[in-house]
Amino acid sequence: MASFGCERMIERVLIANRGEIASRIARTCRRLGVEYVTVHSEADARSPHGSGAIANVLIGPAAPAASYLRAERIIAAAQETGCSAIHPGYGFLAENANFAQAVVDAGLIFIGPDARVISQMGDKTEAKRMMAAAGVPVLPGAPDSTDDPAVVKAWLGDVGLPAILKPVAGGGGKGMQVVNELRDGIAAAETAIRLARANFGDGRLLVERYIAGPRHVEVQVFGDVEGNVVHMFERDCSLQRRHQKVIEEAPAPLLSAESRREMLEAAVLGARAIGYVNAGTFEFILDQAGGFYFLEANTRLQVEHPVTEAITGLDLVEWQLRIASGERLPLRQEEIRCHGHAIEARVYAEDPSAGFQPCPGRALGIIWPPSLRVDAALNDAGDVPPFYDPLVAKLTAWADDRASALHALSDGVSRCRLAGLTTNLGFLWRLLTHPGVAV
Amino acid sequence: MDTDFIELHIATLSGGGAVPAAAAAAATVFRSMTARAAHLSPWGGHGDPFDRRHLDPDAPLGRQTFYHRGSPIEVCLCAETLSALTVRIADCAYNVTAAFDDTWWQGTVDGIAWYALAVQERLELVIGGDRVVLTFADAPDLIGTEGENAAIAPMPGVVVAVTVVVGDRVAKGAVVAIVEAMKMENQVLAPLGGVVREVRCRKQETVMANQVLVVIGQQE
Repeated sequence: MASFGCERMIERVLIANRGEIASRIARTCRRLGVEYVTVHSEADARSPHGSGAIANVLIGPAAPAASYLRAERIIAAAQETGCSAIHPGYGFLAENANFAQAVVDAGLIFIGPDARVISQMGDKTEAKRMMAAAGVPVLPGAPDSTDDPAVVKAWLGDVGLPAILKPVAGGGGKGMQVVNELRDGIAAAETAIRLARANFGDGRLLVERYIAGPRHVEVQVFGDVEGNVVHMFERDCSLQRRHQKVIEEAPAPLLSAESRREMLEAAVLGARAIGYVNAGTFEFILDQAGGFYFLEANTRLQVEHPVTEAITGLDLVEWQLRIASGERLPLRQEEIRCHGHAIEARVYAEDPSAGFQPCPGRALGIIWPPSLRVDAALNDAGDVPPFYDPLVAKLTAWADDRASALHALSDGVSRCRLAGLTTNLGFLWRLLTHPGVAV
Repeated sequence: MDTDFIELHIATLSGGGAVPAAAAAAATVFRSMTARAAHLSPWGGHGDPFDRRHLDPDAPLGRQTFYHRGSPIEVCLCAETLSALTVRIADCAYNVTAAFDDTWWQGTVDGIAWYALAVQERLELVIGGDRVVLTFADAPDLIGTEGENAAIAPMPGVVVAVTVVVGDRVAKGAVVAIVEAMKMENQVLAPLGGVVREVRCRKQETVMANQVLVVIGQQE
């Protein structure tokens, strides 16, 4: 069903991000012959993410609020350089509904779902309510959100312990608190509210039942402007540390055919119900009995999208660009196949032997393993500035089966050379070769 | 394998402890190799150290000292063959191999892969994926003249809270500031009990690692 025939591919796009994801988006642009403009802060003046761009616009000082979060400056940069669309990547402005709307109001294409859907899914209370209404299973939780610690404590009694406090406006696990004892409720709520206010400008929290020993499985979906929705199978992101994903894989291991089918169907159902357009991810939490509950919907390209690309052979950024250009979904559901197994590891500049403290610094030499797919912020040498996420690279292995993919990834990790920067590579190797991960 | 897996196994996964010694074992190879002519085989090309065996039976091929975070690690060089070197640190023996390719040094320590780059006065080593920085001389005191009276930033970041003012009495271990970097809040603690003499940072200020944030005076 490809294109309508009259839709023209976006000719020039502004990539409103930095690091590995900016380089990743640029790679597809080059392959498709789409011109791209990059932006950078003063701290990223020499960052390789501007490579190959027809322009690389300085948008402000190092602090994110003064650069990568400056919506008007970024939109102006797109207009000044003749771009017709903006790709937000992930993080920064990617899930900011006001930004998405401002891009459209400026006469540009926002590569992602529309502002209304971003806003609905960004408000976790609203997202959960909408999913429950659409028939998607959701977790037991308080019916609303609050930024009053006393109300949080009262709700903890209703929801039941253990419970988890989550910022309404948050993402990536930032500011979440698990409460095991009612008497810790007030202190945990105060911390979570303060972090939420500081990071998201919104202190409201959700209170939900906490599932012990859960798995985290998410479904990649794509929708088009005609209301067609397909899934691209699931990813298991259970190997996390404090809600930050470390290892992701596709398909999810040890998932019954029935659970998989139900979860994929639930995600498509949820996406269809809200008129989802472009790339999105429906996150579910799996309890030990195989039950699954909607966690949140991420209205953007995910960090871990390479594993989905590896098992489907599709380029998700290409799909994003084509759908944003007004095309229909490039493939029907039955044309999207899952082959083999893919596993991704996130290389962070952090010190596992010191509580995983982030370690910004200068890499003096890097050699990435040729046997793996590498999505890196740095190619040979360069800085990991202290102002942003400490993600240095994503390493992805693909093989016919899980055991081979796991071996290929741990072997590749052991072959990385990265001098001058403290990273979690040793930790990743120990994790990937741990008998408990070999299942 | 669930979302608690990493936390459950964090002790074995985090590494740490034994790594600096193994890195120092590897570093001896680096140093003895650089001291020789480049065209020679790593271990051959010189006579049997007969005299040294008598002079220093624990370290017939010599001793080397490296510093890791200010602490010395003494390595005794015990024996060498054409392909490997045996060294001893405290009561632990290590078998080390090495090769040099262009810029990188690489090899194994007891079968675990290591690689390294030499950078001015320090060695950047990675062993089994874990980074260790060794210096040949004792590192200068990064904290500055305040020494142990200073509460310092544990890492580069932004000061999000300063909880004390000059004149406040603080207990040892009290939180005096919070530095945020890359989504993490780090508490800066008073290294000793006393009176706050100076506050050298402000909220929202960007600070560097080891920068002095608060100076504390002993109680009179």
